[in-house]
Amino acid sequence: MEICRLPVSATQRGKLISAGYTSLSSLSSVSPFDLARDLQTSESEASEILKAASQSGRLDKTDGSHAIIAGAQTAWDMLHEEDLSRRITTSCADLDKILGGGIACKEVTEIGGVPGIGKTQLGIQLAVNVQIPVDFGGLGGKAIYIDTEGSFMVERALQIAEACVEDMSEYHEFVRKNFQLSQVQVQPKDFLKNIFYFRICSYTEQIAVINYLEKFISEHNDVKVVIIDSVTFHFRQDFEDMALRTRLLSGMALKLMKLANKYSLAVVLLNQVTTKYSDGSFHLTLALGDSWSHACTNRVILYWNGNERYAYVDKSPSLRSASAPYSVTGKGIRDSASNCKRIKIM
Amino acid sequence: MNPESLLHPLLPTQKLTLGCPILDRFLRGGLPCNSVTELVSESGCGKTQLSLQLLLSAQLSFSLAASSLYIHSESPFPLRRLRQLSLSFPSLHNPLDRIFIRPVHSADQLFDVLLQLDVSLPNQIKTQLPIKLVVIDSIAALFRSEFDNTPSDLKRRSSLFFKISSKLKSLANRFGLAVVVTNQVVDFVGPDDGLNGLRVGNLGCLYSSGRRVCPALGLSWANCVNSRLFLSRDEEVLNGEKSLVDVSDDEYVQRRTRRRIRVIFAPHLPESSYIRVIVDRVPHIKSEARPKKRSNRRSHMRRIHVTATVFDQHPRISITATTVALIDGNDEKTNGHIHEENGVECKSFSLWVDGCTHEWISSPRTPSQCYTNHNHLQYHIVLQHADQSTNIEWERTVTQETQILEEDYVTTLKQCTSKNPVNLNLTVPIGQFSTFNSLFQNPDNFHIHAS
Repeated sequence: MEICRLPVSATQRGKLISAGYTSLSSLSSVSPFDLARDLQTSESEASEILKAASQSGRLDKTDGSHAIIAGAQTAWDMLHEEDLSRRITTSCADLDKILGGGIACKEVTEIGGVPGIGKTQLGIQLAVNVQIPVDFGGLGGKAIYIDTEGSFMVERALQIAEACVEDMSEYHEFVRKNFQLSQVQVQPKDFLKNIFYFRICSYTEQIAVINYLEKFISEHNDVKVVIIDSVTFHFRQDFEDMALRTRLLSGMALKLMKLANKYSLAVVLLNQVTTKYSDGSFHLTLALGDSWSHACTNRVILYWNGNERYAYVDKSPSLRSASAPYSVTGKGIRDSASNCKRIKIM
Repeated sequence: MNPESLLHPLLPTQKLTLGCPILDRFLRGGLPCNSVTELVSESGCGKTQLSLQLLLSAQLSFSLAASSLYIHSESPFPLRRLRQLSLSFPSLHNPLDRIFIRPVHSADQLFDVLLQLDVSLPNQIKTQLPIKLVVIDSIAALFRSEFDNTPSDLKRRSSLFFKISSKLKSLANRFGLAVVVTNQVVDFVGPDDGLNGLRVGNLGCLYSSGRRVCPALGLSWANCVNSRLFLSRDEEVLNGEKSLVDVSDDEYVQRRTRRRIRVIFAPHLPESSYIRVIVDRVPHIKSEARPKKRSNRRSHMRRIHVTATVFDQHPRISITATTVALIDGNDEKTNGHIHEENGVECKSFSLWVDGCTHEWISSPRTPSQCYTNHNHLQYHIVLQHADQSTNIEWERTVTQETQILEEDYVTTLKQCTSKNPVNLNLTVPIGQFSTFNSLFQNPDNFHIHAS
């Protein structure tokens, strides 16, 4: 950004240009004292100019120009941004509640549980729900589904998508009765079209596809969720060198976090459980070891409680530990049958 | 590296039929390809029977039309049984030629065989049907003997699980294979809340022969399969029902082993269970669809004489499923009767329809089917012409209140096809019910003559 667009007085602007400060970036690394000397003004005036420069730099950050401290944001701005950003609903009100409204963008969420608990179902549900149009309170984004286990079933995804469309038109009738607005025009098949599906058969492929994601997402800007089902499978075989495995995994986690941040998308990693041997007894824990547990922002564990499925927020910087029941139905993830509230799309 | 299009194969995943319409419906068309399905049961529940039937049904033209590979690790291969079963698939020509059998004796050997498949599957002889089904019977036998219960051995074992399963899944994905793995069970001892408080799948507590069991090989293997089906059996004493049963009919008071199939977990199936029975006279697995109260049934039954008429040669008719189950072998009235029509001897076939509530299920893959469970029945007949210009669809919901008249149905059929009709009489071999589908797919099975 040019200096002439800086919101300072004309004399100050003239001084800046004549002193050789023609762009904002040239102001980014100068101290108020140096600037005051160069412009032959008071130090307080110089710091005023720098403040103005830093503010306009931040406002302009989306253009890709340089800020005073490149890439940094104040916590206030971030909070504001987070309030604005929408979350991906899980279609289960209780689950949404403990997750603070759904799966958050810009974060890596790990979901783990025993086989048959509904990890894949939740994955498919999220891949569908991310596409709920903005008018209906969704993100209107697309999904990348990386399938390492071969459990993704197109027919199941279609079923969930159909149920989602149904819910949307119901919502439409409910809320917009008085308005003559557009009908739901999404077809279940459109949902499938917007899920980019990668089938992975080895861990090298998995790493390759994650490296490739950055390029792919930069070409498909509207991808709002990346789901890996499961992140674990290929890393549980054939690793003699556990240090190598840890390195590969943490490298992968870093890349995913970077993606999540850069393109403000949600990353959902599905994990398996394993038994851990400590102090002479076995107990259940998520797979991939202790170092992996640092890799994710949020960690949700799915478990059985009697005949009901429950989700438990195990780790999260902003959510408190809580658990909530959910159920897996023909329509996908829904509220648990025991407290039969109607599902709302927010 | 490009994402696969989910829309491109608009058909749902290819499915391998189980050779029984009702079980197929239960599993939404059968066992999925590109996926590893595990059959878990104690011995004697029909794992091997079902696997053998799969070997044969995979060859059916409307299923996968493929050869199969059977890797067995347990007892010697039950050749005689396979031969016997093959007789109930009359539409197949030398079915045993297309079943490859390979014994393995250790887990490492199994892995070697899988590695060989990597090379041999792409280089199959073109004239032969490609291999689309791999059955491993059983995976448990390989792992239950070889490994100690020490942490290091357990770790090696689970690493091998993932190695084998990853290989299987990648083969399945590359060649569109349906992979079926059988597993044994272990007795379940301990508190109610599952093994170490762990519960895998929908039904943590599984009962078979009155004992509580759970699948062998533990948690890490459970992570290795896509779907897990559980077969169980219980000896059923029919005392309670005896009074309701027509006692004069021996067939219905015979002792029966109830076998049940359940979904423990699967990405595409809901938690559910279905009873099935192997009736000894019928040499293959089929679902139980016979109404329980026979005396009751009789009063509601109407005989329907299907003399379907079509315009042209090569009609494709599907009268599927349950009708099938209802025309059971021994009932003389339902076997069809031989009669003469225009000097040509032909066998007509009749359906018994019970009067209950009915349900119509259509699946996109099989154009017309009808199914029943204990009190549901509907059937649907589609006559389709070779040029596909006309479809005559005839379906009927029969409810308890409906008084069905034989003529009613026949006339409906005739009205549909009043233009230059050709009489079609269906010949149904007795006791070949699960191959019913294939029967109708094969025009040779029809006797067509002009009337």
